[in-house]
Amino acid sequence: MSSVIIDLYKKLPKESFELLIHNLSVREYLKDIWRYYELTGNLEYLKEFDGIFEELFRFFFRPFEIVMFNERVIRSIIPIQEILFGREIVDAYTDFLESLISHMRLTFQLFSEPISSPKLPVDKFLDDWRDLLKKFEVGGGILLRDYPFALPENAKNYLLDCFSYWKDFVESYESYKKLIRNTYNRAVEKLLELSRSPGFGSFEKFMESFQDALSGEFDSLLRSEEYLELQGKLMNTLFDHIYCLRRFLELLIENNPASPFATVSQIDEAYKRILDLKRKVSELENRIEKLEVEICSRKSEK
Amino acid sequence: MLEKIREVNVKPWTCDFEVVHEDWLFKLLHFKGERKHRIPLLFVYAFINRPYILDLHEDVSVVRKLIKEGVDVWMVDWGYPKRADRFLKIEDYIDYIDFCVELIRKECKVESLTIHGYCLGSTLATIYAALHPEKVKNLVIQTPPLNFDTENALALWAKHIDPQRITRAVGNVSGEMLNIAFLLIDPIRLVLGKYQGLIDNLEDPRFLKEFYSMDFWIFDSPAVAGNVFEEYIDRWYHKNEIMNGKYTVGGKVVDLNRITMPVLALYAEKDHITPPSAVLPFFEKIPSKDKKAMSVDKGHIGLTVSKSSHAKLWNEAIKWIVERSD
Repeated sequence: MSSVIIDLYKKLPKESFELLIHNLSVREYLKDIWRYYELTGNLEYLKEFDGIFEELFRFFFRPFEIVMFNERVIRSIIPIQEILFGREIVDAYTDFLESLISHMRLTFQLFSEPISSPKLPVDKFLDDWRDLLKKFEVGGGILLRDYPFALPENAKNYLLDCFSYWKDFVESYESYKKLIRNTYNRAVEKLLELSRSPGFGSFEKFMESFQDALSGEFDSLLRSEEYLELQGKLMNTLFDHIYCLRRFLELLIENNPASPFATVSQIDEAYKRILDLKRKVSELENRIEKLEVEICSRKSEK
Repeated sequence: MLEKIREVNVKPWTCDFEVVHEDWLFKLLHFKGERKHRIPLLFVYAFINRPYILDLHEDVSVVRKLIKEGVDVWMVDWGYPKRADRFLKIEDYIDYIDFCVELIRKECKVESLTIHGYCLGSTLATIYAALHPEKVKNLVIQTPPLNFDTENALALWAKHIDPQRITRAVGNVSGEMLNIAFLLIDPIRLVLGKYQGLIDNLEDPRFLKEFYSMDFWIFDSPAVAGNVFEEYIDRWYHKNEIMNGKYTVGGKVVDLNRITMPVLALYAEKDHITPPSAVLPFFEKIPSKDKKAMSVDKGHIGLTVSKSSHAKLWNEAIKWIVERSD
């Protein structure tokens, strides 16, 4: 069995493989629920419903997951997924931020001088700066408390915005998951009602009823103003966070004279100029072609 | 129980073609076949997903059917945009269609040709037809998003996102992101129901071949270039500029009143991506006197690949095209 799974992992599109694997798990949960129903003639909220929810919910979070992680790399390392539930993704990313903070803090401490007098205006500013950064503490880590003047250009603003957006994203994500969970619970409740009257004649009928209950609830949810607003907020805060983090890191690189790397923004600018030039060349080629036709027709008239 | 999937052999494209032109990212394909009709046909596919859905396998190949009827078939392939293509504009796509049309006009010695757009390719084809009506003999639009002011989940989602904030963060919008977004528009059917159906048919080789022909295609998704994504969401979904007569390409207004050539609209009643309301207001609006709309009781992709569509709709659609190809 395991070699078949590996072969399929190699052969199928990654999304297709993952959907198959998770649906196999869902099928197992459904069978367990069905066995219980057959045995007792009754259906109640079983832990297997939680299992199904976890299998299903990962797809609602996946667009954000794809952005946050280089998913292909992760999957090439871990073929059979047992991890990456939504909450774990958030935690993992927070860990990443913490390690970045820790690294930056240590780096800047190496260069910082002892502060001489607590009465100087600069010290007052540093105290205020620390207080400000405390608002963006992530699990106890604080970035650049000790040497804010080392940051180039607008890096400080990008950094502060980056943390602020991440905080907003995590808050929205909790609400998002709750909204999905409540919708799922309502669908299960409907299924439980159906089990009491008129009941399910077969496993197929039970599956069909479960899918119908879910479809009804989720169709309404996905078009609701509440969902649309929350999804929009999630996307905006996540993409703004990514942009600010990237710009912060880019500014560190761009302002470091020893850096041998071009940043994405710099390369983008080059791509833009190349494409503009290509359009101009194409336009000139068209003009030349028209002129050539015109010259030829004038010659033939003579 | 999964062994039979291992034996499935999926190969896209069943008809032979030649790549007659390449322009960095874009390609022009020419299918091999006997030309029995004067007017050639150019397929303009969407810049999302890949064009071989029109030639997925022998039983449901629209390209094969057209070639069999003696139509000279050409196709634009928009390729897989990379970071370097982030600043492409929709205007570049329209320019390449014009380049292809000019090339085909010279090659086939005709004044105009049939342009057959599919999904967002229909939007491009319509824009092109409005800008260059003299070069378009017939316009075929298949599941076309033209009126973007609709109430389906995809349209509602698109209206609630800020494309600039996405593209400034990630450049191009990756195929993976788009794939999952499309799954989540109808999650219970596409994430759960479809694969539960697969589990029930794991021993049926024919089912598996058809299922995975589709799945390989569905997940073979190019990224959408950043600028194109911004235009697509902002100017089409947010502002519905094409229907409102405000969309411009290279400074020229796309005037739907110039769509006077014969028009065939093919749409699906259960399409959750481009519902009938995305095409019918457009169809009513254009002044073309020779226009026909045909529909099937299927979804967005079912119109192209279902056997029942091929048994009925496609025979009639191809007859319509052939009758206007001499």
